[in-house]
Amino acid sequence: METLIATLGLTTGRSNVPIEEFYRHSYPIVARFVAGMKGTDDDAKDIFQDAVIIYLEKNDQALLEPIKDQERYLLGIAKHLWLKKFSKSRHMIKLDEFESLLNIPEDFYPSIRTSLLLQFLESTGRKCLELLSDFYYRKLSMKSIADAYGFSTERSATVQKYKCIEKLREEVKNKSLLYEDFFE
Amino acid sequence: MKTSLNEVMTIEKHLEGTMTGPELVAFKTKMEMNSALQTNVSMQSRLISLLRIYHRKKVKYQLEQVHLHLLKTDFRNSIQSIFNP
Repeated sequence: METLIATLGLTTGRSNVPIEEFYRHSYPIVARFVAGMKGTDDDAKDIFQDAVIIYLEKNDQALLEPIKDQERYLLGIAKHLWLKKFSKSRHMIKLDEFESLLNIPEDFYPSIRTSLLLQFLESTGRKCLELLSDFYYRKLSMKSIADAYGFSTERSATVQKYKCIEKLREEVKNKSLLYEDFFE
Repeated sequence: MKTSLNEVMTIEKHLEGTMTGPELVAFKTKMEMNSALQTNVSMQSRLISLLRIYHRKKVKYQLEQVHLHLLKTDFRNSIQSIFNP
């Protein structure tokens, strides 16, 4: 499990609590809420994991006080995710002032067209997707990327990064036009 | 190829918001006059958004592995007691 933690880089704010401990501690908070709404353990798992993803993104953007807000944030986001999934529950969930200020990123539930496009890129350029997401979203340095992908120098890794952007950008362009014809 | 890589780097700089002053003005002017460049900027921006969705999928998969791992411990009983008190 240590390798996974290192791979994910998922630590929780200042205390550096490993993801497993974080999960064990925080999951029941969301599970109790979902159980109270008559949801299943699968609903709870799905909502909790999505809430963690959103939490980590906000944490990366330094929009939260890492530890102080963590549990409130997860529960608040879980409520929003539940409402998104089961809008009929709207009258049953009360959001406090803190929770009502939270939101789910607009692109969190991608459209069919976006999902198809991503599926296509995964089939044609997975290595490039990996490299670019490591750079843009795991925030790995070019040195770490060079080491991880077997490039002899940072410069080679940088050139490869740009080649990947160029390759995928062209594929997005071609495929987007195709999907526009198909969907519109 | 080299010109194209330069374009990718320039567009990246623009999308990151690190382009300023005369360089930014020149780039915007070029974009206004060049529809192919406009399309490339838009597609590169779309690619960055797709990468975010891809990254989320990866994190979700890894969280699922953590969940499965925890289910092999006493965590399973504590969760069951929430749903079947």
